[in-house]
Amino acid sequence: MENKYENLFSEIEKKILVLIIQAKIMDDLTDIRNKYLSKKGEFSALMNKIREADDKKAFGEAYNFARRKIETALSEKLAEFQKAALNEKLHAESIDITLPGKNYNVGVMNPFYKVKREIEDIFVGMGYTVENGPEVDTDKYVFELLNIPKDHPARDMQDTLYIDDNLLLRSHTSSVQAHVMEHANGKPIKIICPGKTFRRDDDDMTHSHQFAQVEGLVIDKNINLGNLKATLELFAKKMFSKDSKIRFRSSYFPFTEPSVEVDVSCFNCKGKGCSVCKGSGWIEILGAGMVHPNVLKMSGYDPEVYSGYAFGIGIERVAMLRYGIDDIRRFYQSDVRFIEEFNKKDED
Amino acid sequence: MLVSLKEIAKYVDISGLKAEEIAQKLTFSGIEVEQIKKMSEATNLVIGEVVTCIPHPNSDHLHCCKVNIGDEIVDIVCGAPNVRVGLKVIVALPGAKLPKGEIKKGEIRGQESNGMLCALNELGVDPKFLKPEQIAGIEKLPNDAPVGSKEVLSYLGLDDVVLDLNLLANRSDCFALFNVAREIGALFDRKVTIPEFKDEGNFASDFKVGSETPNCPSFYAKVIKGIEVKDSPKWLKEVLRSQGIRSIDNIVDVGNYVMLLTGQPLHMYDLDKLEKTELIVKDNFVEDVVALDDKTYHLINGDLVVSSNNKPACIGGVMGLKSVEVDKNTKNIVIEVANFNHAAIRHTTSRLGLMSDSSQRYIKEINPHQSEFVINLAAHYVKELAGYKESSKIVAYDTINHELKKITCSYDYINKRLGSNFEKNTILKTLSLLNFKPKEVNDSEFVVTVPAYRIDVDGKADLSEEIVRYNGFDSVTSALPYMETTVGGLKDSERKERIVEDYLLSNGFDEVLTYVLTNEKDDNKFNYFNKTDGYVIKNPLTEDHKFVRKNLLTSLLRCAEYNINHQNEDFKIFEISPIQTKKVNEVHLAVAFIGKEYQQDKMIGLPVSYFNAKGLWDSIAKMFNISPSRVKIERISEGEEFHPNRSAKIFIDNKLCAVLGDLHPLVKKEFSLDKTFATVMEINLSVLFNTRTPNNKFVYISKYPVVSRDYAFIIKNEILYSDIKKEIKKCSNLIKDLEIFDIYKGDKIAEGHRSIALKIKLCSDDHTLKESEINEVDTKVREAIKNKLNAELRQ
Repeated sequence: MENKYENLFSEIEKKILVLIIQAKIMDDLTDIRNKYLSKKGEFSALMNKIREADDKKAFGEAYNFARRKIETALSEKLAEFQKAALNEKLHAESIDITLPGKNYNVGVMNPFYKVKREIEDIFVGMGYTVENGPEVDTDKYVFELLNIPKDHPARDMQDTLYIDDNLLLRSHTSSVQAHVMEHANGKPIKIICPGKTFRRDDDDMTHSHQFAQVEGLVIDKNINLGNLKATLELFAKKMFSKDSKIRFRSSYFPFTEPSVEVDVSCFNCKGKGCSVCKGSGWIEILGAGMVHPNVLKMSGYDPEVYSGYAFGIGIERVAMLRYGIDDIRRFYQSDVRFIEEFNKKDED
Repeated sequence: MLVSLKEIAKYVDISGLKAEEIAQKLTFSGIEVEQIKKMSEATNLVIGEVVTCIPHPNSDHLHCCKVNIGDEIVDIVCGAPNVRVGLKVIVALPGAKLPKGEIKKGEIRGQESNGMLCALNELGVDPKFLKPEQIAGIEKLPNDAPVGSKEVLSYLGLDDVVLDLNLLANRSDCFALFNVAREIGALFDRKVTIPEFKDEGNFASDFKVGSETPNCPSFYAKVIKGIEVKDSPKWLKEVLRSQGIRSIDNIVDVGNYVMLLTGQPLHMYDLDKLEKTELIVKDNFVEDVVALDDKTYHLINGDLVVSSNNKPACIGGVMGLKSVEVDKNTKNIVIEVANFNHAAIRHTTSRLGLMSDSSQRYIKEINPHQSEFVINLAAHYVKELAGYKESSKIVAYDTINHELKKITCSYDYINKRLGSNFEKNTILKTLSLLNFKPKEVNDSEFVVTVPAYRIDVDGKADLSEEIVRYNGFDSVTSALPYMETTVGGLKDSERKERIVEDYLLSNGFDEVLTYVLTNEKDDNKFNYFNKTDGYVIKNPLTEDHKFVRKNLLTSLLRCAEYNINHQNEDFKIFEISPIQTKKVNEVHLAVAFIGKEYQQDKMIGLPVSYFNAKGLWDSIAKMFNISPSRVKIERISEGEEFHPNRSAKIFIDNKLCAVLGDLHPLVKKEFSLDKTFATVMEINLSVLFNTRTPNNKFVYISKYPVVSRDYAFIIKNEILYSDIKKEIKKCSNLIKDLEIFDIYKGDKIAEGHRSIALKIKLCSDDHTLKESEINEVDTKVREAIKNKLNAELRQ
């Protein structure tokens, strides 16, 4: 049914709606509200005419209907303005997203430590304990207990740095073996000993008076050369490449018998021959062997019952090979630009 | 050791074997062949005769020659001063490849030249084997040289291949060609023929030999009369040349040749120059002597000296003396074959700086059981090359037990040690080929006799090595050790080191590596932990590597200096390392903050300061659960390395644990850090790691609200924050936390004072705080600030 009061409001309603549409800024809407919808506003004033109306209910309905329409239009327009204002604000907040981020400063290990840690972790994974020993040690542990007799050239003042007749800077980490064996009371041993070693060498690209080794030692009943081979194969696969192979060449160290030099298949050319392996397909990486019976005997193991293997890995040598580092002195200069070339990535 | 394949072929059948094959097998069995060298690789050579030789029209030293090369006569321009008509010469024809390049047809100053007349060094012969005139001019071939022959290298004895052996200490037996021949014979199962000569001697000499020192356990001699000293024949010169030894004369050369063959050094004396017909070894001469190289050497006690009538005649095993030298006029000689102790020779050699082929062999130890064989071999060659008239019977002093070592071993031992499955027969055959003369003892054991020359072989383990090096390491079965399972891992200290290491890395510190050895100047710096008792190297190679460092900071700062000098500006570095002195063996950490710390790229940079180091210390102490109540902090009152008012020493339970702070401006300058900011810290990690602290345990978190109150006051500078904190905390145990949020010095604050603003946080574990309780604490705090700290509260 048609409301007979509709026309009463339609004209002003239309007028206000047009004003709303024409509003340019938020204040225009406030003005409209004040002028028409406030208590004494022009539109509100129309309500006074209800007294003259005969159908008061119909009048009220018509008024409210028109008023709602205006209110809705107002709030929609307001929302529109608010959205525009927000958009404008967000636009103003635009940044150059390619600028550098805040510094969280990731530090990097000298590749020396990276390799040292990797070697440690590989052997710890195989159940080895990591042992340490003194860098300044006595003749007994560095030479005597390792079957290096008094007049052996390795003990020469030419090659070894002495503090006095008995004390010296260890020339290999094999000395830690002797310490550990002394305290093991004839029990099985499975250790590695990483550490600094010293020789009386002039420093150049490939020589350093200070360098580091990881010594390994396993002693038990029934340990054989095949055990050493398998262990070093596993090491090579983890350290260099999963398809690495190793080979033994007969060699000589006073504290092992048999002694071997260990070559790893060139991880650069996969054995085809390149500049890294000097064309041979193989790279010499470490020395190893079966613990000499005299060494066992001197440390309280019966060589008829116990046997063992030992190996020595040069940390800088492995790092130089793996990363193609040209000069051992770079490790010790520790130029931060050099260090920061090596990130935390696991090598493939 | 150089091994001429031409020479070795006289003693072992190597027909059909390539040099590469021999080298490969030797290398894998423990005798590394470092290099395979051809004596000369020159090609396209021919023997020619100079037919005409006229001076070059456009040169004052060149000659234009016509040279007969058999089937034609060619024009060659030659620059050698000794070129002349009738000379037999080596001609390199166009296309010849010589070490210096390829010969091409061409014109030399307008005259056609179709080749080059050569000197031996131009073919690749090392000049050290040539006389000066052989280098200055072209090689003069003998008159009977076959003109037109293209087998020039063979004619010259240069068609030889030489293996360069890198011998390890255990295989010094291979300093003898005979033993190399035996080794090759065994490896390839080929026939070995070692010549043996008996030189009976035709008179019994009254010559006396002896030794007064245990360092010479045997001394053999033979007197030979009526010899002629002259040049050695071509074959011997060539052999010596291929082995790297210069030919002198037939007598000296025989000595060297026999040494090359047997590994036993020999020495030749002129009998008539000896003071007395005796040679006695002594080790107590202290005097100057002139050796064969015309240099004077000073002998000391312990040097082995061969003497005659108590006058030195030879520095035993090292070098003979000028006074008894064999020369061109020598007619009668004494041949010495002695055994000198390797250590004694090594000491003398290294002290005098006199390394010879002879001393080198003594140092590596020689076969002590072959003196008679060697002296007979030498006498044989003296007879052959110098035509002696008389030779005496051997005179000998010998205290050596010549019984050969025997070793009994089981087959099982070999296989168990190697992880192999060698058959009995393989083991016996291998040892037999290697001259160990194995004999079966019973089903499980065998016995071997160690050959005299294998002085390195001592016991069963050595036999296992012989078996595996001979049969190859592929015969070893690869299998991981089968052991009782144990927990591996890092030692406690290293595990903790890794915690610190990882923390620092995660916070942008780079980990550096530096040298342990340092110089005297640096050794005297930063010794806050270990002031004395450092180790000093007795035989340092340089003064820069003489002292074992007593702290880490100095080397870390040298590293910082290196970086600053290499265009690195802002960085944080650290090192963790053992520090060892006569008293302690500790682990230290050193950290250096250099330059500025930037928030974003190079924007908003804050210079590093004391508080960087202090904050790092606080974090590390927190990581190891060190309670603040056990920590004491003091200003550094001694030493001159730190800024006196911006540095501290930190103690845990009164043990010095850390030093930290800004560097003293003068020290900064010394490390080239004067244009930047530098703050450092050194922590004795051993103290930190060894401090026992309570284990982590869950503590109830209060569920009641926290109330906070702020206070600002003006206080004298001398009153330290640690004192303020302590005093306020004492007011109530409801104070759970205390935070500083402002420090101000400036216009409105009186000189010598600062304004501090604090926030305290109050909370109870069992109830919500009442207004009255809060007010009570507030009053106490205000009183403490006013009365105890003598500070003025601000509104």
